[in-house]
Amino acid sequence: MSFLNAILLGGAAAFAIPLIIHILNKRRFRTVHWGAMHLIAPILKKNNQRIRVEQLLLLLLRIAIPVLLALCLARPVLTGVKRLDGDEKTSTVFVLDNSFSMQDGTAARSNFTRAREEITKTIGDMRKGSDAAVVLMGGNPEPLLAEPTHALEDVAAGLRETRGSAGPAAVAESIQGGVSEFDKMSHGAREVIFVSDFQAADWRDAAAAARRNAMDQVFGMDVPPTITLFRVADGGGENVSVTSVEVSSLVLGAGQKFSLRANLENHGETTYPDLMVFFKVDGVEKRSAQITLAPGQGSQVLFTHTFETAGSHHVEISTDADALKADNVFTAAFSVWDEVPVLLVDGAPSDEPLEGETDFLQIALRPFDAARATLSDLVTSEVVRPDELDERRLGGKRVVVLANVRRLHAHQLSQLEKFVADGGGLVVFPGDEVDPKWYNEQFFKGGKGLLPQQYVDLAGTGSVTGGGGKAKLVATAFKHPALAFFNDPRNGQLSAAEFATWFHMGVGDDQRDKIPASLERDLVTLARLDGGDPFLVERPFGEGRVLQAAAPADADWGNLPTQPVYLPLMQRLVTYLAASVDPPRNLVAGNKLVALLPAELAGKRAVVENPAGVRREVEVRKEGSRAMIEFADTAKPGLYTVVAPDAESTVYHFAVNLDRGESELATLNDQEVRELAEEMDAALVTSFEEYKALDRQRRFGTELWKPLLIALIAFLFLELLYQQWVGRTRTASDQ
Amino acid sequence: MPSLTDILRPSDLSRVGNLQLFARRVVEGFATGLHTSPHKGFSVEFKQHRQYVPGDEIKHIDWKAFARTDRHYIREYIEETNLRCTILLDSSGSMAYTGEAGVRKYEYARRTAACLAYLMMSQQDAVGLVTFDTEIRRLIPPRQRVSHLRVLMDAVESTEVGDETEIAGVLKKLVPRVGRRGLVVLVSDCFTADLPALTKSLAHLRHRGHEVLIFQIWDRDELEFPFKQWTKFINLEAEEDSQMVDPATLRRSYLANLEAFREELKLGCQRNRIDIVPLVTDRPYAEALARYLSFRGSGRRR
Repeated sequence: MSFLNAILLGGAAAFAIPLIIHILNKRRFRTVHWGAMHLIAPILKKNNQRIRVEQLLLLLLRIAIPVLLALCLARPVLTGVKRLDGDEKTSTVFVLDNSFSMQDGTAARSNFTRAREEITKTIGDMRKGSDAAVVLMGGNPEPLLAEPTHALEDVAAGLRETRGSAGPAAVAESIQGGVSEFDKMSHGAREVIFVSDFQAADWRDAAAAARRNAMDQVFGMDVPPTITLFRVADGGGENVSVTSVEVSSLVLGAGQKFSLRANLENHGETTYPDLMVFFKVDGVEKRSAQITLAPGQGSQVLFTHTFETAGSHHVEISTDADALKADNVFTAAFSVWDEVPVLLVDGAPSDEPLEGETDFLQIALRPFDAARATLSDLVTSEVVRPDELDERRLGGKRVVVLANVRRLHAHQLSQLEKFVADGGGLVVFPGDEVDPKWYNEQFFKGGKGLLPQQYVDLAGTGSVTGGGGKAKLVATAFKHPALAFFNDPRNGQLSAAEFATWFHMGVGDDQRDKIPASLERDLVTLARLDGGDPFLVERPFGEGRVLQAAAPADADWGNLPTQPVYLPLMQRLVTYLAASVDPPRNLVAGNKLVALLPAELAGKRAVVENPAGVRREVEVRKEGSRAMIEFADTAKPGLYTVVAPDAESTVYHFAVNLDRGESELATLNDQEVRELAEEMDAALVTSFEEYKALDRQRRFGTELWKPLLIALIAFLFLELLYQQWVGRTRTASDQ
Repeated sequence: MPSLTDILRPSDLSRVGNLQLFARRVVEGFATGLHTSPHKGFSVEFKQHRQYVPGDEIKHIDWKAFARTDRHYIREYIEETNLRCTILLDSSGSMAYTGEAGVRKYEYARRTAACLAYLMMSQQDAVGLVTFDTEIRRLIPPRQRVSHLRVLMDAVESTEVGDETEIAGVLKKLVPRVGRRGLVVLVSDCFTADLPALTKSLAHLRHRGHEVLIFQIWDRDELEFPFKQWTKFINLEAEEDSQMVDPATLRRSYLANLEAFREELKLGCQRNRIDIVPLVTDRPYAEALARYLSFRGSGRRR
C-alpha cells in the first residue's frame, strides 16, 4: 500500500474535528437545576445503554467521514508484493489482428479501424523514450515497420497507412514474430498487446495447440513480457459468404461443358429471402440465380458453362448480401486446354476387341469417340508398342501410360525420365508380361528411378472367375484430389472392383537400407486393397508425377475394367496427372503465387497486375528445366493477371480468395476469452480507458480512491439517516 | 379598563419587594371595578384557648390565663366568616427552579399565595397558611382579622425552599389539623413520583369536607423542554442525582411523559371534583385571582 498524494493523508487528522466537537459539546454543557426529574429519569433508565451505543456509533461515523475523505484524496494504491515499474520506459509489441474478420464492426467504423485508433492512443500515452513495434497477424505475420522504433509517431503514421489483410490471423506465428521483436528492443520492461476481435476460427480448436506451443516459448524467455489481450469486437457478426466453388472435372477442355457448384453460407442471424448470385465468366456476367438463405444455413447454386477457346480463363461467383464484401466474391481461374494428349504404351497388344492391354483404357479415356457420339473428348490418345516409344512420340504428350510393358531400353528409360522430370505424368500398370527384375532394378533404381515402389511379389492365387483369395478395393474417405471425386457414391463405387491377382508393392528386403529417406516421405498411397496392400501409389519425380498400380489396366487379373467406376477413375487419374503439372491457379490470400513459364523466358521480366489494377514487374527465374515467377504480395483477394514477356504476351490468371474460415465472424464468447487470457497469463481489456487503468495498476498498483469515495458518500448518507433514525426510534420506543 | 398588573409581566412585578404592597397592588389592580363585599363578619362567641404561636397577635393573648398558668394562651372565637381558607404553599426543592423567564417558581408561588391571601382577607375570609416540604414547616391557622394579613405576609416572605416533596404524606398529616371544613388552596408543582398517593391524599381532604383548589405552578421550560446543548440536569431535591444528557434526543420522550403526568393528575382531580389550575410563571398573577374568583363564584361548591 502506498499513496500518490501522501501529503494529503495529513487531512485524516481532521477526524479529530467531530471528536473535538463531541468532547467540547460534552464539556461545554450547561448545568440546569431541574425539578421535573421524575419526567426525565424513566427515559434515561430505559435507554441509557442504547443511547450510549448510538452516540458512540454516531461519533464513529462522523470520525470516519474526514478519515475517508483524506484517504480518498491521498489516492492510496494496492501494490501487493510486486516490484512495480513506476515510470519506467517500456518496450511494447502490438500484435494487431488485421485479418478479414476485423472488417466487421459498427456502422461508424470497423473493428480494424478501432483497433488502429486504440493502438495510436496507447502509443500516445507511452512514456517518453519507450520503443514500440507492431506485428500484423493476418496472412503471413510481418512487422509493420522494419525495425522497432523509439520514434513512436512513426508507428502511428505506419498504422494510419496499413490496411486490413484478407488472410486469417496466424496466431502462433504472430506470437513468435512479436516476441522476436524484443531482441531488437531496448527496455527491460516488456509488454505484448494482442489487439484482436478474437474470432473463434482463428483462436479456437486447431489453432490452440500451435498457440500453446508458441506461448510456452514466451513463458520460457529470460524476461517474459507481460501480456495483454485487447478485445475489439463490436460487430454484429452478420455475414454471407461464397465459401467455395467446385468444378466437375479436374481439367477443363475447350468446348467441354462443365458444371460449377458454388456453395454459399449465411453465418449471421438475418434471413435473406431473395439473395442474388451472379456468375461472371472472364469478367462478363453470364447468369444469375436467386436463392433463399436462412440464418446459419448453407446453399448451393449450380452453373454450367462451356469455354470455347483454350487458354487461361477465370470465373467469378458473387452475391449482393452484406457490408463485408470481400468474401461475397469467389474467383476461380482455370487453364482450359484444347486437348490432353496421352500416349498409351501397350505391352500386350491384340487384334481381338478388348483383348489388348490398353483397349479398356482407350475406351475409358475417349468414351464419346468410342460411342461415335457428337460430343468431343478432351483426351486424345495414341497407342504404341513398347519398342515404338521414343522422343518423337513423347513430344507434346502430357501423360504416358505403360500397360503391361515387359521392359524398356535404356535410352527409352532416360527419355521417359526426362519427360516426367519436365512435368509429364506417368501411369504404370503391371501385368503378366512385366519383368519384375528389370522393374525393381532399373525402373525403381534404388528409389532414384521413376517407379515409386518395387513389385515385390505376386499375391492372390484365385482366378478372375473362380472364388477364393480375392481382394476388393477399400472405399474410404479419399483425401487425394484424384480420388476425392469418389467420396460421393453417386460418382461410382470403387469397392465394386475385385482382384484375383495383384502385385505386392513395396521395397524388397535387400533394398531396404539403400533407399533414400525422401522416398518414404514423398510416397503417397492413394488406395488400398482390403488386405492392406497398396493398390495405387504416387511419387513426384522432378516436376512430374508417377502413379503406380498393383494390377493391370485390363480385365485379366480383376474385374475393375468392367465396372462402371473404371471410366471416371481412369479419367480422373489421367486428368489429375495432366493438371498437377501446373502450380495451383487458385490460391488463398497471402499465399505465394507461382507461375511456370517456358524456359526461354528466363531472365526477362513478367508483369503481375493485382485486383486493384496495380502492375508490378517480376523477374522470371530459371528453375530446373523451366522458368518461373514468384509473387508474394497476394493479400488482396481477387484476380491476379500474369503477363508473360513472350511474343504473344500470354496471359495467366490466378484467383486469390480469402480463407473462408474468416467468414465465420463468430468471436470467442466472454467466458472463452477469459479462459484464453488465463491460459496466456494475460490481462483482458476492451477499451483504451481500461488499458490505461490496467497499465496504471501494473505500474503503480490498484488505486483505491473510487471505492473509498463510494464509501465516503455512503457514510455521509448513513450518518444522516442514522441520526434521524436514532431520534425516531427513541421517540417511538419511549412512547 | 386594563390594570397595571395586566400590563406588567411577573418579572417586572417581582422587583416590587414588599409582598404586602405587591399583593395590594395586584389585588387592587385586579379588583378595580369589583363591588365591595357586603360582608362585615365579626366574632364574639368564645370557643377555646390555644397555645400562643409566634405570629399570633398579642392582643389576643388571654392575660388572665397567663396569670393563672404562666403560659401564653390565645382566646379563640368561633368566626362567622364565609370561608375558612388554608393556603398550602409547597416549599420543596423542585419549586426552586428558575427558568429562562427569570422568575423562580417558588417566587411566583409565594406571590400567588400572597395575592390570594390579600384578596381573601379583603373579602373578609379567614385565611391560614401552611408551608411544607417533606414535613409541615409552618402552620398558621386561618384568621379573619385584618392584622392577620401581616402575619401571613411575613410567614410567606420568610420561608425558603427546602427538601424533597412529600406532598401526599404532608396532606395526610394536615387533614386533622386544618380543622373545620373550608377551602384548601394548594400552590405547588405537584411534582411527585407517586401520583396515586397524592390523589389519595387529596381524596382524603375532600372526604373531610374541604374544597380543594390546586394552582399548579409551571415554568415554561418544564412545559416545552427547549434545551439544545448538552445539559447536566441536577435534581433540585437531591443534589447527588444528576444526569448528563443531550436534551434534543430526549425532548419528545420528555414531552410525552409530561403529557401523561398531567393527564393522570387531571383525571385524579376530576375524580375527586378538585379544580386544578395550571399557572405558568410568565403569565400575570391576575390569572390566578380570576380563577379563584370564578371558583368562589360558582355555586357548585356552596
